[in-house]
Amino acid sequence: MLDPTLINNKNIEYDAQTNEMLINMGPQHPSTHGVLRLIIRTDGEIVSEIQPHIGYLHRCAEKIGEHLSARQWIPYTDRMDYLAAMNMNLGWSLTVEKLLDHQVSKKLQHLRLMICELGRIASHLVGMGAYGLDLGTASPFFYAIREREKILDLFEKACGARLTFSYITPGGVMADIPEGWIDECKAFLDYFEPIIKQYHTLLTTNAIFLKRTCNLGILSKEKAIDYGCSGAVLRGSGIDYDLRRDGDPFYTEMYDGYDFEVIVEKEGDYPKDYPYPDVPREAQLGDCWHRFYVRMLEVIQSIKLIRQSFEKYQSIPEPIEKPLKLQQKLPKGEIYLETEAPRGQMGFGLFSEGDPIPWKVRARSSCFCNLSVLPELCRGVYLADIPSIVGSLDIMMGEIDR
Amino acid sequence: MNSLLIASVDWHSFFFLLFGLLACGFATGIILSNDIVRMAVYLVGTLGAVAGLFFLAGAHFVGAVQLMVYVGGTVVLLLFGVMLTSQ
Amino acid sequence: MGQFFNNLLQDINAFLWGLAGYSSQEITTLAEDSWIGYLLAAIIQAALLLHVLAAGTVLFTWAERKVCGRIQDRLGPTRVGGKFGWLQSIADGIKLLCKEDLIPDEADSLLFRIAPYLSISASFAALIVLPFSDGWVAQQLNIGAFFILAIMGLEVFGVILAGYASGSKWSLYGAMREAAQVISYEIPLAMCVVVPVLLVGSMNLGTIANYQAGWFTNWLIFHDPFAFATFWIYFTCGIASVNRAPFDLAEAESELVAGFHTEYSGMRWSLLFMAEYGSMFTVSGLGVLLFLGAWYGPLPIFNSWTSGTESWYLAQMANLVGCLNFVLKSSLLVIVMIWVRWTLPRLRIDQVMTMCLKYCVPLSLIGLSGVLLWQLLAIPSLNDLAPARSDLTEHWAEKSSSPFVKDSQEKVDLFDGRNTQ
Repeated sequence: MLDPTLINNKNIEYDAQTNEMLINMGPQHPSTHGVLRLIIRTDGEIVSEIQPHIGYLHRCAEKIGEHLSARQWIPYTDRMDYLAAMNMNLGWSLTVEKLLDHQVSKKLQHLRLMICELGRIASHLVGMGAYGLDLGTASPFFYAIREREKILDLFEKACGARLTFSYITPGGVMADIPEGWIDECKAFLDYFEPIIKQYHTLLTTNAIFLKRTCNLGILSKEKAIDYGCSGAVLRGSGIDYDLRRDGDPFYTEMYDGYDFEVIVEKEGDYPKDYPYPDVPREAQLGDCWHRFYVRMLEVIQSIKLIRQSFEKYQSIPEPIEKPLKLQQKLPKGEIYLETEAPRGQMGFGLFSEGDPIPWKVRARSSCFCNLSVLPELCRGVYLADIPSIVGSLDIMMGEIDR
Repeated sequence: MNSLLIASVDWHSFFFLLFGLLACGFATGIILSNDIVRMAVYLVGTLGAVAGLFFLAGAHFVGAVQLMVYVGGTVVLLLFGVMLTSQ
Repeated sequence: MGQFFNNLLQDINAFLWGLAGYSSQEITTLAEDSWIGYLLAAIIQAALLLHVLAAGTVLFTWAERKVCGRIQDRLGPTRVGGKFGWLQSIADGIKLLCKEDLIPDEADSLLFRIAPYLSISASFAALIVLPFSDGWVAQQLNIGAFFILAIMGLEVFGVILAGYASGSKWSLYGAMREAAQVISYEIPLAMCVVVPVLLVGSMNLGTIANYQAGWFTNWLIFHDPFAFATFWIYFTCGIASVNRAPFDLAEAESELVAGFHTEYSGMRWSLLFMAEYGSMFTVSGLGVLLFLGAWYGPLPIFNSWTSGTESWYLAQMANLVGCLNFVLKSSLLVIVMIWVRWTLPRLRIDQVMTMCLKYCVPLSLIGLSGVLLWQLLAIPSLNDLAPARSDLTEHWAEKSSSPFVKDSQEKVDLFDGRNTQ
């Protein structure tokens, strides 16, 4: 039967309705970023409805957290957003520290910032490369991976691992960075900063890229807030909100004394402290292009932050402290702390009944909320736009399914 | 002498018959088939064989037009239509 | 090429008949209608062209991997067959041969099996009229350019059938996109092909090629600015009609998994793959023949060998050089296609159609009318700079002597009404 609402809308095309087709996209589809499954109802090439199905990567991380001590749970945070494992470690460590009311030294904070911003760059690089893959060009991905490898080399020198670091732990880091690490990091940044221009040439200003991303999947400010979006998705819609500046003081004090800008469009343009391409005419606030672009600019801000942290870190002579052993009982209490992970606000909840082992552990995934806008954005777009929109949300299934 | 006999076989007639039979065979296939896409494929065979006849007659241009318009155009559109409608 | 083999076989034939004691007069008539000669020539030509297709695929796959590797700041294949991974494609071929051949339950198994063969035969058939050098062509058709266009329209069939018969929704999408796209892009492609045809006044690829003999200024791409633009429109539409990125919507891997060949594996898949590479070469070859001076190099070094009456061997040597020239130029265009593929993102289906209908068709028409006006107003062109080949002869089917065609001596060409003798 005809839908009465459509008749009221005098939808002329409804007369010539062809059969709708139900397609299953994923969980083994090449462009669903892991194991996302989308049920798509299409009319020809036009998508009329889309429904994401999640849970294919569910590993009971939160339940496992009820059986491990707070420090033992660190590796599980690694495996949430495995492209930004450092930032996940930080979120959990800060939560535990807040419960214990443990204040780390200033030097350690500088080190953590350095590491986390490097992690942010690595994560955004993959986001950019994978977005290129979604749009059908493989080369940016290889460029991105090439640079990310260098960051991973730095991480490997710091902690020995290349993907699941478990580096930042409650009360400190696993080990201080080795001698000469900062010089290598400086060399990397000097090498990396000019290269960003290449990415802008390859993707940001590419005519076909603009055609595929501009004015597509527009997420309005209101909807972005309603759905609880965060990170680049939120700022891409023009909302000036970044937890690094506006978050919990326990987290933001890491960024005290640092000069950086929250990337958000103001009066049709972005803060100009670096030569970057202008916003194209066809782009609209909140579309895929803006979400992508915010990520690209955040990389530059991260570089700025890292450069500042070098001096601050080196200006403090005494060594950083050893991390907490966490063999004692945790104080009673409920703590929920959100940090700004590369993909958005990553919140960790720690509920303690006074045992060494948390009573409950909770994680609030930014990608989960970001993904939830997908049915809203994918209404009436072309089939080929789905990878484009999913890619611009930059979801990470490991974090959504936990 | 034997070779002369072979050389005198009317190859023109042979190929004419071959293409003619192909065209007729595929045409029968169209009638007998139940699946509309297979019919379209048989139609390609028929039209292709007719194009072959044109080439045989030395009418290369007409043959190529036959291929381009009927096989490459009409039948593709037909298949296109079938795919849009059939379930 | 056909003429060359025919002559050779006629000589052999005449020799054999002479042994049997026939007079020279009889021999000539026999050789004229020698079906054995034609059969052998046909087999040899088919084998040679098949090797063009197969070896072309092997080499272009290797080139694609290497070029793409370099573009992506990596090395590409380096191990199989030595430093440059020469044998990578062969290794891939062996792997594909050994792979299990799957036919899905949902598939229409007859059509599923036919589709790759249709694709590859169309891709192969286009090579029949593609001259590799002066006279080195399997079948010198007066309508060569048109025939190639017609055959290239056939190749879409295999893809549509493959997509439809797979019984998968993703494949169906690929097939639908392919059908819509290829039919649309045939129009501007044909419009662009018409330009050199009009300039030379012949659809015979040999005649068009010989018109461009001499200095590179004689190439039709340098005839006038419109012709220059038309070549690029031709090349764009050519990329679209052979389904290469950024127009590879039928197999868009980020949207449709693998499009029409999602369900294919092993040898069947590689046939579809070979068809794609074969038609890439055909489109590039046609572009070279029509616009880029065919088998003539930029400088007329070897041309005197062919034009003169010096020696048969010299002429064949020049032809060989010409063949190399032609293959080199075509391969360059193929490499440009590879380059484009690994640089640009993919367009969306509506954008592809918009590009065809709103830009390529009008632009090709403008190019066509521009070239016509140029000719009409007799504006001097670069082609007039250097003298063209003096003995430019029309390659109207030179005394067609096929035993399969009757009354060929009396044939009248359809276009100019001239007797084609």
